[in-house]
Parts: sequence; structure tokens; C-alpha cells
Amino acid sequence: MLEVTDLHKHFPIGKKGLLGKPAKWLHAVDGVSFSLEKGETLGLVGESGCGKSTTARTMIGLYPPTSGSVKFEGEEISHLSRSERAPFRRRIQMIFQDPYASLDPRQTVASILAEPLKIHRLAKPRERKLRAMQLLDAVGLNPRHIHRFPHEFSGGQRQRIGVARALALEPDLIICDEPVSALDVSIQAQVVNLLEELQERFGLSYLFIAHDLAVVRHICDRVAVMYLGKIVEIATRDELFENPQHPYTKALMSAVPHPDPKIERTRERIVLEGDVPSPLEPPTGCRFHPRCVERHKVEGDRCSTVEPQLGERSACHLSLD
Amino acid sequence: MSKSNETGASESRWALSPEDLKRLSKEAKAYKGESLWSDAWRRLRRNRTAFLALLFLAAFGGISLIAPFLPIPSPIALSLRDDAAPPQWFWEEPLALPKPPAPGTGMTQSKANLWNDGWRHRTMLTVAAQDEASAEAAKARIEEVAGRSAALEIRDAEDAPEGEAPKLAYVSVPHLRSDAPDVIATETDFRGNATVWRYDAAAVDSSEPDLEEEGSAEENTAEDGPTEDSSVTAEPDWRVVCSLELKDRNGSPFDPDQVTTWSVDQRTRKVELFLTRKDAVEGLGSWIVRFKLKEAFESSAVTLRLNGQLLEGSLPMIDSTPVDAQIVEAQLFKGVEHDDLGRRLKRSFESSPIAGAAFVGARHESGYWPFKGIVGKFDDLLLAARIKVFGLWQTGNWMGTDSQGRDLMSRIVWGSRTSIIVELIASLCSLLIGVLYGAFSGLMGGRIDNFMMRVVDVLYSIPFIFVVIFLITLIGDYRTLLEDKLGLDREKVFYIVIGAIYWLTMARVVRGQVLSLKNTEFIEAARVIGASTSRILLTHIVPNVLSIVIVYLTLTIPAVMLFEAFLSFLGLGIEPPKVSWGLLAVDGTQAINPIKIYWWLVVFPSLAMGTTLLALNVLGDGLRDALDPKLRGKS
Amino acid sequence: MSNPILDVQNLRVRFETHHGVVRAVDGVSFQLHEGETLGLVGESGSGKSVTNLALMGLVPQPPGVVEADKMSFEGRDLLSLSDRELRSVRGNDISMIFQDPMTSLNPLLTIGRQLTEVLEVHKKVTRREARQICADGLDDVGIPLPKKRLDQYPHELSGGMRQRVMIAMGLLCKPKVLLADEPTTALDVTIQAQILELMKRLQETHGTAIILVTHDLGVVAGMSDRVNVMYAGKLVETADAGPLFEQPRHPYTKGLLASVPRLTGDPNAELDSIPGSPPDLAALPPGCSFAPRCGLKTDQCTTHTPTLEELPTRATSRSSACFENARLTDTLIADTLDYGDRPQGGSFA
Repeated sequence: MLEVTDLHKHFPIGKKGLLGKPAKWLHAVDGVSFSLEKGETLGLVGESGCGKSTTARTMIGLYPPTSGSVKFEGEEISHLSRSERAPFRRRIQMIFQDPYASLDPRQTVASILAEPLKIHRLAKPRERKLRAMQLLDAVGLNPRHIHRFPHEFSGGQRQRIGVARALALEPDLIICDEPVSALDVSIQAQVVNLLEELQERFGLSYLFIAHDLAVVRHICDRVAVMYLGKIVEIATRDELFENPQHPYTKALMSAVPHPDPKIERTRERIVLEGDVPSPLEPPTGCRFHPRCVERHKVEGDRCSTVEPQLGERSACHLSLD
Repeated sequence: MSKSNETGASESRWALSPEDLKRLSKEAKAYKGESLWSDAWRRLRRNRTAFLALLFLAAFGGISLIAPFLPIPSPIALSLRDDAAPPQWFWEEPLALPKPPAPGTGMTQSKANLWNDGWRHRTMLTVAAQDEASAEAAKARIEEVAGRSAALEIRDAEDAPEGEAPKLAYVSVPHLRSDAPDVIATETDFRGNATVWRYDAAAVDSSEPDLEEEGSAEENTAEDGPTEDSSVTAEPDWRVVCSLELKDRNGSPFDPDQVTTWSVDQRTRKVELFLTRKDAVEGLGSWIVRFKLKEAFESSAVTLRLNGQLLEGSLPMIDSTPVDAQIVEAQLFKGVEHDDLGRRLKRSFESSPIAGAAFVGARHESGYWPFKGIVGKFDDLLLAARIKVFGLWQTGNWMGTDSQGRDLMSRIVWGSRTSIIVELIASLCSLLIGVLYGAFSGLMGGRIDNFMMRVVDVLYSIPFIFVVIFLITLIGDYRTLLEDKLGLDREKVFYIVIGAIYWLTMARVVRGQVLSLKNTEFIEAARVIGASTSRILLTHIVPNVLSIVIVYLTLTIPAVMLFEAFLSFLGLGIEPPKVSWGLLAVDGTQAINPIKIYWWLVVFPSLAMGTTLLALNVLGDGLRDALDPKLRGKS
Repeated sequence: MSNPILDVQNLRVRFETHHGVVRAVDGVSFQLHEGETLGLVGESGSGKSVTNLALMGLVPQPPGVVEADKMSFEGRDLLSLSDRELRSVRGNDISMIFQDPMTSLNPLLTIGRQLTEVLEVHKKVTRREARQICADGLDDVGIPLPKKRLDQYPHELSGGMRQRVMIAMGLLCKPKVLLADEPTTALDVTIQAQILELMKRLQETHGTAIILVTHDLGVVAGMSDRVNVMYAGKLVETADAGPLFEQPRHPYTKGLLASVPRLTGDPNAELDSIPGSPPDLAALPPGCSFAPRCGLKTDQCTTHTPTLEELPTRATSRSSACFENARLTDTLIADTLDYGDRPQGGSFA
């Protein structure tokens, strides 16, 4: 349904003159390719600054891509103008991370939910409110609260409103940009369950962006792990969690604390050295090599000179060999 | 009813049936949320000082808005005092406003009897005089002809040839209350001697032939007071003076308490009686109106009113046959019609010239002309309402008068109007230009933003005080040209300058806000659902920057007020005879001298200005707290 | 058992606002022993951070009001200390690590300036010595080239580095108690793992007692000896880490644990979630604050407020604030047989 090929997004950094080129380019997304089937949930996991949100925003057209293509049902959508994009907007929607920032504080829930319908002229003015109530009901909120304002809801309820807004246009694909990471644990579970329920009911596909592997494991069918603007590993959920290939994936999984003291205190843990390098000057060769604990397993200096390409599953010289 | 244009399949996705929705949408009305605006308003009301400041400002604004309605003296009506008068307490008899002459007592010449209505008009008569003595003589002649005191001001003639008529004497003849055209002056004496007059323009024209004769009659009667019946013939017929004699059925005088008032309308030839009681009609025997007109009143045109309501079918009760002429007393009222005054003076100067003085012309000066054109008709309505409600009563000089005898309190009230207009212009420019410009610039970003902000920078760098000085000087030199061709007078230039300056900072403030807003997720969300830039600007960005805008506005208004006062103080802003707080400050500074302390000229304007500025700042502070969503729910 | 280094009895913090009195912390009691790590778990708004601020004397007053029957540090009553005495305790004996490493360092001062300031306030050392101590401190928390870092500004460091600097700053004066307020929430998991390792190592070497405030049950499981679970300003359950995670007693703790997504177990199973959302602290429901979201709710729960009761267990002390305690006690005795003595501070696997 969705196919992303070699997507690049570079941001100019620093001052540029009238005609001069910017001093530096931030390679936020640097050659990302993946595809998404109908009804599937693809997880996009990575640490902050790895480019997962930029990928999503570029795909949906919030940023123009530097290069690469985004195809939706075979049609190229990445270079469309705003008006040309309209039919695709209806079919690809987005849920945002921060439930406190993603709803206009001055609008009632009714107008927030009716706005997409208004823009796409999907319903008559009278029906918009009724549709908004349907949506509220669908996301498990009291439809009577349609005239309330976002600040009168709790964080979890606001996130539900955000989900309802994405649903308003009855899309096929919803890009979820860390939809639960700003929520409390007990609420997080509610929203995850809601997303799963809606997927079944409306036949949705999700691109689920998260930094929390445990959440991804619960909701996703396939998982792509990103590091510094590149996908380092992509696999079905079971394969990935049972047998992670890329050293980064292993480290990432090992770093997730487990809510059980018996396991947490006995398990062996891979603690990575150092920080994520700046995407302004990504390391040569394999981008992960300065922090990699398995680097010594690769002969010579291939890790620091040759950039491993994403094969069937993982972008690591070890697994490629 | 929900009639979806979606397919049946998608309809079934939704859990709620149309009936449910109908019911729920009714119930939803009970769950109205509280918007951030109403929340802010609630918190502002709880902030006692800020709310008091808001009330104070609202009251102040309201007062200045309805200034023409208030029974305060005219802010520009000069009295003939030569010194500023201290405040009078309101229970004291107003000095500048002696009681109106009782009907029939005529005019006296004394200053104390000068009844300067203030909120009406005066006639300015210009006389070219050789010296002060001749000017005084001319003034005496004018007073004689007009039948009332006049004020004299001598100035050097600007374009007079060397040695010839170096002086111009300006003699202002105030209108009397009774001169007020179109107004029924209501007298309290209804005991058969009520006097009612109305100015009728048509009648003036028709009376033209009588003027020669009338001129001499005027001079004769000026000092005699009211004319008796005998002189009625000499009375100009356009000055309708009539009296009404009412008798009961027995022929004895009708009980005066039964009649509230009556009116004679010359134009429609109708007489109206306003009765106090319905049964008074039965006792009414006859009426007679004595008048001198080319056409007589028709008896059938008499209507009777009770409390303003027309009494139907009561007309036959009235016998309109004129009774004995002797018992009818016509009261002559000698008014001064100012166009006519000019003519009469001209004639008077021609027939008996004064040495060294030549009559130049008469000019009618409307009491409120400076303020017309700003609110225009609205002011006229308020004036009419004022006459209805307060009649001719007006307050004394509760805050004293300035050196020209103008009432300080009304000057402060009228001056606040100028301040409010200036603030309105600045706020409107800030809101319309500043907010949209800044929001658009911030939202577009990139080169457009860069260019738009450089424009603001350039405008910022212009020293506006110098621009104002330059423009004002230009207008001084090419005044007629600019006013005729561009309709640009000094005041408009002043407003344009204010408007040009005060949107700049707003544009910057708004742009900064928009820059931080535009990367928030709800703006991105709006883009994702396909909202256009203008839609995002108007429905998402502007409402969200509005709270900052409001706070910023309340804090800039004091600056605008001070700017206006400053320019007026320099003589670059509002021109006399209009009033502004800056001009009052000028008066105040001139009043500070070691010989006599005119404290009221300093204290009252500064009190007004100080409290307003304080209130605005307190309000701005309170608004900032109330509109800050971070402080929601906190003290 | 030694005397507790920190003893808090019935701590109450309320904020008087226009919306009413917000009881952010309502009757919290706990003790902290030397070298021990106490986990303070709860969702946002449960009062765990305010508890920490109250211990540091950093609750803004007004609108805040802090009251306690007892709040003593090494026998000194923190509430009766003067501002001056409190300052000497704060940062010296008790120090704090804040949640957001991006905003808790002054961007206008160098790292060195900010670190030496702590020493200059509390210890009488020369500038040279202070610099050396600071460089050692940075080295301790695993910052490479510590001397160079001293002359850098916060924006030149990454988030993980800044949090390390914050920890170094917290440990400079060798405090006896370290209050860590969500020290890893703003960090990525790989960095979080580094920081947690670091904190454990430092605790072992310095013997510092830590109060770890977090909403992440995984972090608590790895770090804490004892765990206090807070809900709506009250302690609802307190127990040693092992028994708590093995056999949560309070319905809230149970729900919380069940709703955490894990890397083990059936990934297709639906996550258990606690219905509803946390209550508004200014308008708490009558009775037990958790009652509206609780599956075990009885009539009593909506009328009476349960108190924290000691549960009869064999080896460890644990208590829970729930009317259903009595019903659950029998199984509990059997459950806790597995556990020996409560683990000592710093004795991690």
C-alpha cells in the first residue's frame, strides 16, 4: 500500500547568504526504504534524533523530501502540491505525540473534529457535529462532551480526541508519531488497546513510531529499527524480538528495564558506550561503529570505512557476511 | 437527522444510530465546556484590582462617549471672565451660569445676566478698528444692537496695509438660551401666560420686507424690556410669539394645573395642549391664541394630548372662537438671530458710523463644530436627548475654569474623547495591520518573512517625531491645498502617524509568537488534514495569539495616550479649539506661576490622566495573568 | 536495623489555589536508611515529585503549605531549620537531581563555574582545589576529558552528558541522601541504561541513600530496595521491591503492573489497563481516591478513606491502603514465604 524508497531529508543548518549555500546539512533521514501492507502495523523504533519523526512528517508532506519517493498505492505523492495532495490526505492521517500541544486550545472538540470534514467538504454542516459525536464514541469518550474544550480533558482523553480527529476522514493509513510516550502507564495501555481495536474495526494500517520497544512489541506486526537517519534492522516482530540481529537492536532491547526485580537484577545487560553522534557529522562507514560492542567480531576496519547496506533484514557487516 | 453521504458499509462502522445521535446532541448542550476566554474572564473578575480598573476604564470610556448627553458646559464656550475660576462646589450656585431671565423681564446688560448656553452657538463679529477706543465703541454698538453683553478681543490684522486699520476687534456675542433654534423652550409659567417659540426658517424669508421697520423697533425696545400689546405690530412676524389664554366653560380662567404645557407649531399651524387629566377636557371652555401671522391657525388643527398620548375625539369640546382681545396678553420675546444680527449691525454702522471702526462681517460659530464629523449624527442625537432629559440645566464649574473661562471638567471629559479616538486608531491599526502582517510573516517564514520584517525595521528606523513636525509644517504652508485636494488636515495627519507607528511593534510581537506556534503539533495537525494557509492563519494562529495581543494592547494604550499628549503639548497634535489631555497639560504648565496658583488646572487633568494610565497598567497586568494558560487554576 | 537517616511522618503538602485546596501530598510517611534506595512510584500528579521538593524545602510558599508530624534528617527536624541552616543541609547533605537536564543547568555559566559554586557554598576549598574535585567528580560519572568539560557550556554537551554533570553536581559534596526526580525520563533508553548503571555504581562506592522518583516501573525494579506507590497524593502501598512486583496487593499497584507492556510474555495479549483517568487533586472523590477506577470497589470505598495498614507477612514489612486487605491477607502470608530478608542497599545482582 505504501512504499518508501530511498527517502532523504536534509535540513540546512546555519546562516546562508543571498545565494550562498548553507554551511551544513543535517542529515535527518538518509536513505530510508520500507513498505507497508494493508492492515499491517509497522513499527519504527529508535532513539531521539534518529529521524523517525522526520520520516513520518516527510511522508505525510509536512516537509518536502530532499530526494527519494513515497508511493501510496502505486502513486507518487511526495512531490505533490497542496491541492493535488488532497485526495491522499483523506487516506493518510497522523496522530501526534503530545496530547497537550496537538489540539487547538481555543476550539471545542466539536470544531476540532469537524474541521477535517469541513475542509474536505465531506458532510453538511449539520451532520458534522453528529459525525464528531460518532467519532468521540468510537474512541471511547462520552459523545455528550462535544462542546467541551481540550483543556477540560485529561492527557489520555486528549490523545483519544487526537485519534478521533485522525479517524474523521476515514483514512486507510494512520501514522502514529509516538502516540503513547507522553502518557502515564495506565493510560498508555488504554490508548494502545484503543488503537488495536480501531485497527480491527476500521481496517486501518498503522505506521507506529515509538522509542519504547515494549509498546512496539505489543502493537506492531513488523518493526524497523532506525539509527542516525538509517534503518539498521527491519523484521517481523517475532523474529526481531526473539532473535535480534543488529548489535544496536540488541543493545536497545537490553536497555529496556524490566518491571520485575528478579529478572531486572539478574539479566545481563549491554550498556552502550557514549552518546549518539551528531547527525551533522555522521561517522564514516557503519554509523553505529563507534558505539558498537560487536565491532571486534568484524575483521579489519570495514566497520569504519564501508557502510553496510540494509539487506534482507539487517544493515550490519556481521549479518551480511 | 443524520443523512450521511457515505456508503452503507461505512455507516455501519459507527456505533451510534441516528436516533441516539439526536438524543445525545440534545443532551450535549448540558455539557458546555468553558473556553479559555471565559476562563480568563472569570479569573479577571476574581482579580479585584484589575477588575476595578476595568470598571473604571469602562465608566470613563462610557462617560466620554456620551459626553454630548451629559449636562456639562461646553468645553470651548468662553465666558467673559478674564481669569481662571477655582472649582465651585456643586451645591454652590454656578457663577458663570446665572439664572435665565424670566420671560417678560427682558434682557439686562450686565455680565452676570449673560446666559451663555455653552453647548450652542455664538456669533463672532469682526470689526476693523483703528484703536482700542473705537473697538470699545464698536463693542458698545454691538451690545446695543444685539441687546446683550459681548466679549471683545483685539488682535492685529494679519494682512492689513501699513498704518491702516491695524487692529481687528473680534466681538463675540453669545447666543442666548432663547436663541436656540428648533427647540421648544419650556416655561414653567402656564398660568395663561405661557410663551412658546419656534424658529421657522420659512417665516424668516417671508418676513424680509418688514426688516427696515423692525430694525428701528428693535433699538427702541432693546432697553425697554418686553413690549406691550401695542408694540405687537412692530414685532417681526417671523418671530412667533404667542400666548394662550384658556378659559373654562363659565368664562373664568382655566385651572392652570390641568395643563402641563402646550405648543404652537407654525409650520404645521397646529396647536397642541398637553393636559394633566383626562377630565380636564370637559372643563375646558375656550382657547385663544394671539399671534401675528399671515395665516391663521385652524381651530380644527388643535389637538389635545394627555401624557403625550393623543386624545381622540375630544376636539369638538373646544371652542376656538377668539374671546375678548383685551384679556389676551402676548409676550414679546426679543431674540437675536445671528445672521440677522449681522445685517442689522451693517445697517446700524451705515446709518450712524463710529469713527475709526468699520464693520467687517459676522460669522456664526457653532458650539460643537470641532466635534462634528467624528461622531456626527450620534452626537446630535445625544444633544437632542440631553435637551429632552436635562432641559437647559447644566453643571457648575465643579473643577473650575481655565483662564478663558472654559469649564475644566467638560474639557477633561471631552479631552478623553480625543484620547479614546487616538487609542482606537492605534489599536485598530495594531489589530488589523499588525496582527495579520506579523502572523502572515511568521507563518510564511523564509524570504517573505525576511522581507516583511525588513520593511518593519525600515519603518521603525524613521524618527516619527520629526516626521510629524515635518508634516505639520507642510500642512501649515499648504493648508488649503492639502485640505482641498487630499482632505488632509492636521488632525488626520496626526492620526495617520499614530496608525503608522503602532502596528510595528505588534507585528513583531505577533510574528515571534507565530514562529513558536507554527511548529506546535496542532498547527501540523491542521496541515495534515489539509487546511490552507489562510485557514490556519485565521482559525488557529490568530485566536491563539490574540491573548498576547490583548495584553500587549492594554500596555501600549498608555504609550499612545502619552504620545498624543506629548505631541499636543508640543503643539503638533490636536489644535484648539478641540481639547485633548495634552492641551490641558499645556494649560496646566502655564498655570504654574508664583503669583497665583491655579492648582485645579494642574491637579484635575493630571488626576484624570494618572488614574487612567494606572488603571490601564493594572488592567494589562491582570489580563496577562488571566490570559496566561499556565496560570490556570493557580492564584 | 540502624536509625533511619531520613524519617518522614505524615507529610502533607497543599497548594491553596482559586480552584480550591490541592492536596498534592496527603499524609505520606516513610523512612530511609543509609545506603538504601527507596523507589517512589506513581503517575503524573500523584505527588511524588512534590514529596521530594518538600524534603528539599523547595516547595514554593505560598501557594504551598508544608506540614508534617515529623520530617527529620539524622535527627534534625528539617521543618524547624532556619533558611540558613536549611541551605547548609540542602546541596550538602541532601542533594537533588532534576528531571530535565536541558533546563536544570544555567546556560550562561560554564560547567566548571556551576560545579565549583556548589563547593564554594558548602566546603571551604580554594578555587584550585574545587576545580580538581570537580574534575574528579566528572571523571567519576564517566565523562571523558573532564578538565576540558569544565570550561564548556551546557549547550555543548549532549543530554546524557548533562545528566551526568547533574549527577556529578549532586554527588560533589558526598551527600548522605540523593533525591533523584525522574533522573532518566528525558533520556533515551541506551543512555538511561548508562545513567542507571552509573547511579548504582556510585551508590555502592559512596553509600548514598537514594530516593528515586519515577513513573517507570522497570527502573524501580532494577534500582530500588523498597518501593512506595503513590496515588493522588497518598501512599497506597509500600513494600520491598521483590514482593511488590511479585505479589502487588493494592488494586492500583496491580493495575499499574499489569498495564506495563513487557518484552516477555504473549505479545498478542491485550494489555490490561486501568479504566478512567487520575482524579483532579482539587476535587478528589470521597472515600478512596482510587475507587472510581477500581475493580474491587465496594460501598465502603466511596464513603471511607482507607489508611495504610501493615500487612501480616512473615519476613518483610509491607502495607497497603485498601479495605480489601483483610480478604487478601491469608494468601499473602503464603506468598511471601519465598522471600528472605529484605535486600540490603547496594546489593544488586
